[in-house]
Amino acid sequence: MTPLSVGFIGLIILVVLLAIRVPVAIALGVVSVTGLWILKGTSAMIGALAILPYEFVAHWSLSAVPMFLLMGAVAFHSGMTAKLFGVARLWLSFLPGGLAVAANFASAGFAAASGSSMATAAAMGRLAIPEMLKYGYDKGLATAVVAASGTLGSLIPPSILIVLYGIFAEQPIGKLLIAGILPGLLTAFIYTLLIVVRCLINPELAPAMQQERITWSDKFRSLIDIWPIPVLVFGVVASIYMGIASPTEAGAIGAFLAIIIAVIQQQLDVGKMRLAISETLLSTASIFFIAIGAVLLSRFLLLAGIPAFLVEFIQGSSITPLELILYSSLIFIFLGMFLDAIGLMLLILPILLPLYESLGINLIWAGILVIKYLEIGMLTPPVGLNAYVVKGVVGDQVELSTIFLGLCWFLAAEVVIVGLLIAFPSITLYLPSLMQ
Amino acid sequence: MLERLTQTTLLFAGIGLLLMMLLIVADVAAKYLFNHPIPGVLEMVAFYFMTMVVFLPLAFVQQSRQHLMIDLFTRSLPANFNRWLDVLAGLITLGYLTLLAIGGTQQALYMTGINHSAEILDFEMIVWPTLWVLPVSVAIMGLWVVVHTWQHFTNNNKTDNNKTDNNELIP
Repeated sequence: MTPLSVGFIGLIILVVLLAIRVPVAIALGVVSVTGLWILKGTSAMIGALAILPYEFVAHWSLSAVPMFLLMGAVAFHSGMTAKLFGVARLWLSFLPGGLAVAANFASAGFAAASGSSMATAAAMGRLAIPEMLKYGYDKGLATAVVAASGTLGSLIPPSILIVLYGIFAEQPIGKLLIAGILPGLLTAFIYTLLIVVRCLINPELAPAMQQERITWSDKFRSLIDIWPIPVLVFGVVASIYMGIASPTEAGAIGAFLAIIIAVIQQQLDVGKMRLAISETLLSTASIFFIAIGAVLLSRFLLLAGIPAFLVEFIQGSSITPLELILYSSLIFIFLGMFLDAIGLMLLILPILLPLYESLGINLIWAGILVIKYLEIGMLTPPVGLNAYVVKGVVGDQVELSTIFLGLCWFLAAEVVIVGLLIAFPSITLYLPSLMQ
Repeated sequence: MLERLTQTTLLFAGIGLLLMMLLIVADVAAKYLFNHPIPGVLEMVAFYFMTMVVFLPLAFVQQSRQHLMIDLFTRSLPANFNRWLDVLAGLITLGYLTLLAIGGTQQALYMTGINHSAEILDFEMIVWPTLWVLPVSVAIMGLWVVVHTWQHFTNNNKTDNNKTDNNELIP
């Protein structure tokens, strides 16, 4: 057997293992280890296991991941994030479809703190969907807005996905994090436009609420409850942008300040702190265990010559960079049906990155698009995972098909957004270009 | 017994997480306030705290069955068939963990032998103890896999009724 066929058979076996419910981290690891053994023998295989996992983990830049996660977990368990929806509601309920717009922005804030779109959809679903249904909002709109706006968190820093992408693509993580800001805001803006316009055209989607008397002093007083979230997120972003702190340092300071603020506000006791810490550790360990599998897979595929083969194929077939970017969206959106964003990204990057590199595609721009694709994959029928999370929250009140029908509007908006990001790379690259 | 061991690893991981945060904050403060970063922070974080924070909780992840997997294709299969798939997945997992532990131990023994350390300015920080975190954590994780797989094999997992598709990375 040629190394190349070992590589391709390995990839097929990987898919089979994933399908029969072998944990993603294990499937990646087992296939790679077996492949290394066939290609290079026992001692080389053990040698790879001896060195690669430790070297990958013992890494300063990657410590941004547990720090960002800790900051999000503290914000969540101290109740900071739960208040976001209430405040967004006070400020935005005057708009047509105001509650949906409020849910959209509250999700953006929550997701920015937590960095996980599924966690956002679950938490915001519990808060915002019952409220919207109470006021007679269209079920499809109410559920879809929560499922869709959860995805904003992967673009708005601090984003775990972006840190991991930066490590695998060997791109500056600070610049990548900053690159996500404008695409994230663009998405939030277009979502808002979509909600408002739909509700203007068809007011039945979102019946106007009885005139609650909300004074300006109510509005400003409400900000007292939630100021830490915008301040923390802005602080992290600003210190990375201005080069004051590396992403790791910004994450550590963010987590530290979140704890201090929560303690001063008397929202954090020992029990909640323990919960936040053990959640952080659980997420960190499971993410990194998958990442170790992905590192081993990269090594195996490299030795099998798969990247070189694919690069040669791509170069021989006169595919343009634009076509490659468009084709790769199909892979992500298809596989997004089965895997969460982090697992999927770590699975695909070892294959895709050499291709992007070979065609000279800007890897910061491509990274933001990859993250966009991953999040769109979480929304597409028949099995977008975010829709399932929302379905799990609402139970029998709303049919899954209703959620997906509602999501079709947001997917249409995503086509526009991705189109803009591809047509105008400067949306992504402008802010990072200003950094030294 | 295994539970207590797992809790202990989690405790150390938690301590590592908080120390990592505090040390980085202190380093930044020292850099800007006194114009003098704390030497060795980068090495401490990378070698000591990252290995603790990433590897030590692995046993806990396994205990609470939080490893990410895809159950879309197997969801509708008969329970008994799924039970055998779980046994198979358990054996595959054990195989991988065994190799990981062997590789990790080999490297740790070697690094201990040469008293592996990092040079920081004018002192040496010993690094070899951090090499042992991986094999130890993987071994404890493996014990949980043995327990779970045995439960599936004997069809005695009454205690695990709360097992759902735990795809959420942050519950």
